[in-house]
Amino acid sequence: MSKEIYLNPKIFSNTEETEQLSIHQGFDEGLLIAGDNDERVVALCSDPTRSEKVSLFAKEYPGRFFKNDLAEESMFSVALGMATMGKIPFVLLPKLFSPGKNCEQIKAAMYCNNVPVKIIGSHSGVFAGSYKGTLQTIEDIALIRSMSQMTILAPCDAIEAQKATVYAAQIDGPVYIRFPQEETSIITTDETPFEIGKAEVFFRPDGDVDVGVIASGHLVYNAIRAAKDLDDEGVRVRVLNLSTIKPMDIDAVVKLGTQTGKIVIIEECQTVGGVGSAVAEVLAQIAPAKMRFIGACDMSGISDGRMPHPGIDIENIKNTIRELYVQ
Amino acid sequence: MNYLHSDKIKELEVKSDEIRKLMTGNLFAVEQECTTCSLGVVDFLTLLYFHVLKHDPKDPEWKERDRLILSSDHICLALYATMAHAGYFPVEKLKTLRKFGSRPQDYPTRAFLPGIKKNSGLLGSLSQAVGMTIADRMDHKRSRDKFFYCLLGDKELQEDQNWEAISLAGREQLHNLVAIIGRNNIQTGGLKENTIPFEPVVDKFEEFNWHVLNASINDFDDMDNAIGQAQSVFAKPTVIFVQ
Repeated sequence: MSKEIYLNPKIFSNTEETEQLSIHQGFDEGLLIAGDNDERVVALCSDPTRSEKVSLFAKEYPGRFFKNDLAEESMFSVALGMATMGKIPFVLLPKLFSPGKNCEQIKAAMYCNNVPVKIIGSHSGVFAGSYKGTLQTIEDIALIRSMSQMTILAPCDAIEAQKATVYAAQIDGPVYIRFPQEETSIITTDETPFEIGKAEVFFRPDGDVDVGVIASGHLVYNAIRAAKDLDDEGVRVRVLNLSTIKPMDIDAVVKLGTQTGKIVIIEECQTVGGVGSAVAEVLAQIAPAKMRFIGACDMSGISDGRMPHPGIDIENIKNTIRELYVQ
Repeated sequence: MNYLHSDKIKELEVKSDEIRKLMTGNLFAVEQECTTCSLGVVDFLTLLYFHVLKHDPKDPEWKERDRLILSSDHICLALYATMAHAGYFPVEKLKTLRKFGSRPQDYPTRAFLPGIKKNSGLLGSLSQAVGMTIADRMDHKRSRDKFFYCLLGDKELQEDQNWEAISLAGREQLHNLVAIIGRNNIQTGGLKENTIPFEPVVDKFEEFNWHVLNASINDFDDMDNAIGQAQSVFAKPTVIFVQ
C-alpha cells in the first residue's frame, strides 16, 4: 500500500468496519467550500427535497440556489444563461436525464460555448439507490466523453469528491462529475493528494509488477481489496486510481501499460465507449497491452440496491486478473 | 426609454434603409437562404439598437447593458448588418461572411464577434434568456435597470424546451424578460396550421402568468409602444406577438 498518498489505514479491515459514506455528501461539502471561495458559484437542482439535494449549499446561500423542478431539458440552457452572466453553475439532475435526455442542451449550452457549467451526475452507475433498470445511468461516460472540452471526474470516495468539487469550480470550462447514490467505503484521507488530470497509484507503487489495474470511481476500493488478496497468492498487482477520466493522465496510463503489458479496467458504466475504451485508445497507440474490461458489457443496470453487480465484485475482479496473469 | 418622436422615427427609417443596403450589398452574395426573414426584422433590430437597448458598441462587455438573445439565429444576417452599422465592427467586414476566423459566421459565434455572448445554431434560447434573467436577479434583486429581450419564431413553440422556459419564467415572475415572437404562420414544410397546432397561444401564455401584447414589427411607433408597456409590467414576463 502506498505510504505517500496517505490512504485510509482501515482500508483492509472487514468491509463492515471500513467507514461508509455517501460520495454525494462529499460533493455537498465540496460545493459549500466552492461557494465560500467564489461568490459566482450557484447551484441548480431539480428537486432539493429528494436525494439529489444540495442541502449544505442551499442552506448557506439560498439566494444562489435555484430549483428548476422537473424542467430537465431547459435546465442546462438556463445554466448557460447564468454562465454568460458570469456565474459558475452546478447543475444537479438524477437518473438518465443527465446526461441523456439533455444531450442536445449540453452540447449546445456547454461545450459549444465552453462555459464553466458543472454537470453533476448524482445517480451514476449501477448503485443508484431506488433508481433501477431504465433509470440507471451507465451510458454517461460514453455520451459525454465524445464532447470536446469536457472534463470528466469520477471521485473514488466522499473525501475525494469534496476535493474534486472544489477544483471543478476553478476550471474555466464544462465539467462532468459522476458518482453513485449509495454509501461507499472511505479509501482516502484529507492528506491524500488530488489533482485534476493526474492519476495516482493507490496500491503497490514501487517494485516489480505482473498486472496493472485501472479503476475509476468507488470501484477503486474493490480493486485495492482484490490486489491485496492476490498479493498473498504471489500475483503482483498495481492499482491506478483514474479519478480524472478526461483529460486522461496519459503518462501514468502508458507507464503502467509499459511496466505490465497486461491491463484490467474496472468501471461502473457501459464498457462500450466507457473508461476502458478511453484507456485502450491511448494504449493502442503508444503501449499496446493485453486488456480485460470489467463493467456493464452491453447490458442495462441490474442492481437492486443491495447486491453488487456480478461483474464488479471483488471475487470476479480477482478471477479476471488471475486469468490475464497466466496469459 | 425616450419618447419616440417623429424626427426620431425618420432617423430610424433612414438607418433601417442603410442596414438593408448593407445586407443586399455585402451578405446576400454569399448567403441566399433566410434573406426574406432577415429583411423582415431589420426595422425591429434598428429600433432596438438605435433607440431601445442600453448598450455601448465601444464596450461590448459592459455589464449593465441590456441583452438581446437571438433564438431565431437564421436571421443573423440582419443582426450582423445592424451591429456593423451600430459600430461593433467595420462594415467592410460584412464581406467576410462565413470565411474562417471572420466576425460574421454562419451562426453568431462569440469567439469571433464582440457583443455576442453565446454561440448558437440550435434552438432553445428562451431557456437561456430565463437563466440570464434569473442570474441578474440573484445579483440585483428585482431591478428595472436591465432588460432581456429574446427574439424567437412561432415554429419554435413546437419544441418542448420552450414550454419549460415559459412555465419557469411565469412562475418566477421575471418582469424584465420580454419575448418577441414572430407569427408568420409558415415554416419549412408548409403552413403552420397544417403542422403541430399551437392555438390558442395567447391563452396559453396568460395561463403561464405572462403579459401578452401584439404589435407590428415594421411599425416603429407601434413596436416602441409595446416595448414601453412591457417595461412597466409588474411581476410578469411579457410576450409581444409580432406580424
